[in-house]
Amino acid sequence: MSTFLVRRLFSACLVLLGVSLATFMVARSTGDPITLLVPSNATEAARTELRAHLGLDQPAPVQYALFLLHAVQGDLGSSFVYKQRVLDLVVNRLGATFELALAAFAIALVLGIGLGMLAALKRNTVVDFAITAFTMMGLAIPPFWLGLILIIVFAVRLQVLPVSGSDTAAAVILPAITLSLQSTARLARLLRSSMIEVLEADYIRTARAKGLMGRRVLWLHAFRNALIPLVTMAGLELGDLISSAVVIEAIFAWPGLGRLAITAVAQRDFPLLQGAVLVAAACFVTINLLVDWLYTRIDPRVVLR
Amino acid sequence: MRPVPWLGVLGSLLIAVAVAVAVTAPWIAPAKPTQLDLRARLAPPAWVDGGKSNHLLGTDNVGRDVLSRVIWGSRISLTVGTAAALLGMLLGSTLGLLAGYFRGGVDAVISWLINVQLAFPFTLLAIFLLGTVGGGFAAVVVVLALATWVNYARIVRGQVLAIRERDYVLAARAVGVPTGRTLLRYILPNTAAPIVVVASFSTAQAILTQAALSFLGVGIDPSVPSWGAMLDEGRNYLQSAWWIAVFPGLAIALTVLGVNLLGDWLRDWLDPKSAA
Repeated sequence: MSTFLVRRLFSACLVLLGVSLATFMVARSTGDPITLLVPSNATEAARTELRAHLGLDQPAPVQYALFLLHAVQGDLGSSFVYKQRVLDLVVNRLGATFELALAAFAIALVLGIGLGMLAALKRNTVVDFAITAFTMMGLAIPPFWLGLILIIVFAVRLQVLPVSGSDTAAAVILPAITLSLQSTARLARLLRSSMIEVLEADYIRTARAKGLMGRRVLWLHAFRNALIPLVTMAGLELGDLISSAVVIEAIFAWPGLGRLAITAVAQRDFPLLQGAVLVAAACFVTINLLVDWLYTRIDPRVVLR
Repeated sequence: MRPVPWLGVLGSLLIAVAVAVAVTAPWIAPAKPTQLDLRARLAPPAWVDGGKSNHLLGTDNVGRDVLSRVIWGSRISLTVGTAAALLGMLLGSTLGLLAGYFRGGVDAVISWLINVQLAFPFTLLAIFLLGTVGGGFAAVVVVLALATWVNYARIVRGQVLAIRERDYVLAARAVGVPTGRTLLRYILPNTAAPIVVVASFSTAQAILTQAALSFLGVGIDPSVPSWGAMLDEGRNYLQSAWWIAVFPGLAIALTVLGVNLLGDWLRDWLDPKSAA
């Protein structure tokens, strides 16, 4: 177990190193950040001084090494616009994004598992067709478009839910439903097919043949095994939700990482943008580590090396 | 005999309609997509009270015909979606092929690249790239290909790992067939089936993401009519003029539905075991 953790941590660090290198190169390819920092009428001497102060006069590899050295100490630089530490700004907004992503994740898990099970158990009936139609539409509808439609219906016409913001608990409902749609559809499709496969397996027939009936077979034997592919997928989905939340936040004025990033693009605030991407990637890598660990808990056959 | 794959037929039909609309746009669109009809601004669809018969799906805030813009917008969605899926295919299949065949160091580096790509929250990465290097058709296609290449690379790598041990590959190597020829003649063709399936889902993914990027304002030049940009323009008129945002969204949904249905059918047809 411990060697597994060390190996996985090492590989996670390598991945983050790649992410940081890529973001560093893109951020540097956009030209001289000094021109964005000083007024256009600044003297050349002032520019040179600031460049030296920020370490931008060093060769690129040295700059990257310094960036890394600072990053592991939790210093991702300062925002051009807010004049605050990037890490503080990002962590501040991360909570709101997590809240939205987790709410959507909960909806996707409950609905996805429920619909997937139902479709598998009622295979080739009207119920199954209806659920399949629902999941196909769920995958095809652009989530941000669904968000707009939900706003028209529930916030503007019926006026039962808030249009945007995050002031009340009810405000999370519309963005979370919008965000969960694709994940719900994917999880339901996955569970349906893995459940059907399990129900046709020999050990289920054996369980039934030796006299175990109905619910016990279903939950103890079938469901548990059908769940295994779902766990891997669910981990990926959570990462995907954090990424997709960016678009949904823009529609519902949700004060998360995505809105921060979009403002950062508009204001050409590259350190902030870079920090947001790095922190989000770190979250994704952590989630996948947890998923691997969870895997061993539900499937004893998996031995981690 | 197999039953008729109705869903696959429906998918092909939806795609055929979308392609036909995109190709014949100049002839079937009732107006130019950029033509302003300032006396008929925010006109509702023809069947709603106050609708005008010459603007079947209504007009937007500057009086442009929504139907014409939906028709012209199909061109961007289809070309960007296809180009991104193909570029991703070229990149991903090549890397997957090399990783699976050579294993060892090559595999380690390519697998690392795959994991790095997967760790990026894609939407943020896209905003980051397009925000720093700027939008435009080519930039959007490249960024979307970055989102799809891993799909191909992972599946091709897995396939090649199995295929490279088959007798006919070992035989080819034993008689001295050059490596490049072995890869292209004996291994690549056997990975074609999963590549085709991944291509269809990647196209759907690219069409949706391209629309999302336009919607966020970092995509293709908003003066070119595209479904994503129309949604972005329409969001400010949700209360007064729902039709501006609703129809392009419907167009995206139907196109993506078509591509997904075709992909599902292709997967079942090429690999009957996976049909459930």
